[in-house]
Amino acid sequence: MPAHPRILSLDVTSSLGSISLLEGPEILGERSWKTDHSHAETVLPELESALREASLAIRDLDLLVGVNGPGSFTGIRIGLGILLGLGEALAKPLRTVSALEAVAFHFCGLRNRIHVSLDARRNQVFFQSFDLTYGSVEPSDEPSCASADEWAASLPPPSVPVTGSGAWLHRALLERSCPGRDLLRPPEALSALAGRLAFYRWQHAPTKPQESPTALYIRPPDAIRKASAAMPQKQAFSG
Amino acid sequence: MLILGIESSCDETAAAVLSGEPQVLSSAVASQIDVHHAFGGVVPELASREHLRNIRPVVQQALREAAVELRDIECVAVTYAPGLIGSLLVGVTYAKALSFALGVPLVAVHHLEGHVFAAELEHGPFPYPALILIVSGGHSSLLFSEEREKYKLVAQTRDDAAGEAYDKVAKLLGLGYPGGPILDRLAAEGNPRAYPLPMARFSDGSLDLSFSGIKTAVVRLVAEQQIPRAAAADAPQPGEILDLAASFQYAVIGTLLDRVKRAAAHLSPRCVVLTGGVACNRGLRAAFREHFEPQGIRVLFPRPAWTTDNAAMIAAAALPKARRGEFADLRTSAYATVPLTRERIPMPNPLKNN
Repeated sequence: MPAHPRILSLDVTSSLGSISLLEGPEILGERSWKTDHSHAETVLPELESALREASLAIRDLDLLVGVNGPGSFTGIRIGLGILLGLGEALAKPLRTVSALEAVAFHFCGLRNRIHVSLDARRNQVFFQSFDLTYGSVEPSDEPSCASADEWAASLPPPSVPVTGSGAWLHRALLERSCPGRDLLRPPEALSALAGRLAFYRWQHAPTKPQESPTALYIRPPDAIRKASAAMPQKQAFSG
Repeated sequence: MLILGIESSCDETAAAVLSGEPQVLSSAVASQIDVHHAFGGVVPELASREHLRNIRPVVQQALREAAVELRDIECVAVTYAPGLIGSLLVGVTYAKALSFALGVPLVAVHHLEGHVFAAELEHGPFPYPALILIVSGGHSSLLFSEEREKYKLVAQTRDDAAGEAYDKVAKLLGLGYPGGPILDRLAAEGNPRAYPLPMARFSDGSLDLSFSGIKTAVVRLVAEQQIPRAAAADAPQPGEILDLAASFQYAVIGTLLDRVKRAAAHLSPRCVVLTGGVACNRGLRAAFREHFEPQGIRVLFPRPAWTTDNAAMIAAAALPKARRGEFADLRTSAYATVPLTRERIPMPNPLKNN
């Protein structure tokens, strides 16, 4: 692997899909698109265009990166399905970055701590807090999913700024529960952020064994939640 | 030509390698029965999650068992419809990425045509014309085929698929999942005439199928006669359960046989093909053989491993398309419902003639 590997980074976990091609931390090309439907039809034609614009062939890539969630369950699987297929065919290493981490990375060098909250629909949010240093995003708690009210009641201290589509959507609630807290406008497309973060992590652990990407759903399927709710507490499904 | 087939339309993740003879070099299947067992049926979101976990190891297993490398693969084939959309998407996106990165063509295969080719894999080209009954947990369709890869719809279910009815009745009786093999086994020990169950026919003369009436009748019977739920699927069952299993199976097989008999009387096929997961059913196979073979109509069905969902049948269905250069492009997606054919054969209405 070269010191500055050529990286494909892909995010289709929300309605805004994006693909970035990087060489180390430098962006060679980027494409983003909005869809109300499945990304399944779009991703590979967009990748083909991005490669052509950057004068690269698919075999020139050294590292494949995907955003593994949280977000649309279908989008997560489309992204990881593509990533797994490319990785298998090219025999190149795979890395994943969560959407929460990618958003947090946007504020590296600007803030020391950040709390990210993403819209999870159903009046819920996915959220996590991070410690930030230059080129590094370290989670300070586990990623979670809760109702907007529960989230607002469990926020970190007021000195920690908040960002993300969930925080933005529920800004009135945030203002009521914690007036004066910094609410930062989140980045839109995430693929370049995820690619850069993956590069810095790869630099720190280049010999890390090839990762088998797993999805970060956070929220269990409805069938499991209903079954858990119907069971006595001790038998509740925890997965 | 070496084809890698991928199938993920419902609750089985499958991959297979097929050579051009055609010869199945490997057929790997990761079943999700244990995942869905507690729910008495397939839970779509759970199925999608399992497919994503399984797709890579299943493809690797198929390549290993075929003793080929991915770079030897000359074509990728994948099920694109019909099925559970989340499940289909895992196979389609994975297959498209493989095809794109390997620089080999992609063939998109209709799942029902895959089931047709499962029988062709077993027996070689059919003696045409053929009546093809596809019965599984998600599909119940009767097709007429006068030549290879050309289909006309004779009938399809208007509500539950046959296998779905088996699963629902087994769940109601507390027998477990999947219901087909369990009820088939118990039916052999019961009296098929103990409980008369309805076999639906449509007044418009259509040969379409319906299994919801049989299922509802079982629900009513269980409530009225206070038939107890089975204690455990593998435990000895009381006589009422055995008789109910036999009566249910008798009604389902009777309905299927009735439709194929009526279609055969009109269309004069040279063979009847039984395929799909329910074609494993011993009672169904025996009833069809008993009726059609004395008339010189061959009854063809695949081996059990190829009746249920598998990828060898998808690769087999792709082979003639690949040879003709009928390839899919990078925009190919998955679709929950796409008919295999839009051409329907009108059937004479016996009620009008009376």
